[in-house]
Amino acid sequence: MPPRLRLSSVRRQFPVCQYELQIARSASTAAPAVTPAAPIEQMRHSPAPVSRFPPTQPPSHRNPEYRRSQLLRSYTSLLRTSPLIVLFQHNNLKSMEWAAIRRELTNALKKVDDKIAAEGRTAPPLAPYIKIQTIQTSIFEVALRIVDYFKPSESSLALGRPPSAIDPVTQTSAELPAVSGSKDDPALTHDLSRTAHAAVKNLKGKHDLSTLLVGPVAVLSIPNVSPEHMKAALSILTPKEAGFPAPTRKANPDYHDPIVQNGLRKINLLAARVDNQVFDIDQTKWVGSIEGGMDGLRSQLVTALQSMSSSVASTLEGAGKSLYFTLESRRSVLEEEEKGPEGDKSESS
Amino acid sequence: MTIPISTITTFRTAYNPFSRASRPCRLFLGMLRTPNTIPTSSPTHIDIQVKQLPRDSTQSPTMTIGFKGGKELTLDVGKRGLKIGDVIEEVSRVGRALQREASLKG
Repeated sequence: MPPRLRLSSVRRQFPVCQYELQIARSASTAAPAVTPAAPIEQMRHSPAPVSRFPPTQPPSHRNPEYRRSQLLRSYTSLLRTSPLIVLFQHNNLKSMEWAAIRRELTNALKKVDDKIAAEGRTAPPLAPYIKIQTIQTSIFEVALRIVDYFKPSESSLALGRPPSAIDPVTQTSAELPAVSGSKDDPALTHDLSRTAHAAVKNLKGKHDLSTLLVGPVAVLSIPNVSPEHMKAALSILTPKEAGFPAPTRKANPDYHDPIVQNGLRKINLLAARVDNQVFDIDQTKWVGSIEGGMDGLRSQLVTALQSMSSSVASTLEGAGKSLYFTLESRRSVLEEEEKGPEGDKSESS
Repeated sequence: MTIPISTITTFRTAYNPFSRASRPCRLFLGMLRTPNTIPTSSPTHIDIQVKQLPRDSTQSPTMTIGFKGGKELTLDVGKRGLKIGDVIEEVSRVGRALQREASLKG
């Protein structure tokens, strides 16, 4: 059987290839040697040197493989992204009760969204993002301290950023941040870093909410300061304490299901955190009672300012006017006095 | 130590959740509010009323526990500086006495 691969033909082709290659070379030398300019990005930033750690896993004080570290990260992110947080105390709720309460809550919040859309306001629909969740109080307290008290300085933040080649101060070809692989590096300012830990370590129990975070606590997070959504949520969760009427049996028969009601009897309103400020129950009620949400509050402010400006103008005018009238009356009195004796004199003479 | 929950009928408490002294009140609330005691149809139902004081109030937290047979126990948690263990001890002492009486009566 002859070999299937014809070696002789392959050998014959080889010099042909070489010849073509030579032609190609001579053609390239004939053309003028113009090197295209490198793109501007490449000129600014040189290729990255070797990193000591993966970019998503900087060295951290708390072991990122533990659940508690990831919980801390999720809590800090929750605190940073939701300016309106309401805290509740919950005791021994069954999973069925939680499910029923969450169902009622989402229904009520969807109604608020529909109402806002019907009124033609431009507020984004928040119902899918508003969540009630139970928290680990001790980890949540640490997260609160990190979010509120750990403010890394601008210089340490700049250390963590990759240096720019066009900045004359830090001119370097390195694109990675100047961070060593050590946990102690002050340039590391993420939530699990040693810098963050050291900054808030001495403030244990100093936060306004830390005395409140005792026992089982649940958190309702709203990603926007929307008093309307808060009012709807409170009227479902704690209608008696918050003073907002719960839906009637006729309007919402599901709400008066014994499962929901038994669950709600085990929930207490504790406090709220609005724009990094701690509000107790009365202040929470006040926030919930703002009509028309933030737009309503702004319109109230505008009317107040308008009425104030007119009253200020009239007040300022009033002082000038009264002075004018006083002087005018005084002048007339003086004139009369001047005239009076003269008139008497003329009469007598 | 467990509390004889079946001997308790009412629970009233007033506290300021922002004060450290309110801790036993809130924890005790967690022991009384269970799936068995909350439904009004349940034989071990406990009537629970919570009054939360405003943040700046300095009133000390108190709790009043009503037992079967009309006996009432008022604990001034804040003034006596009680902790949750002390509260459980006091309440269960009364509760156990009532349980003993009931069992002796038959």
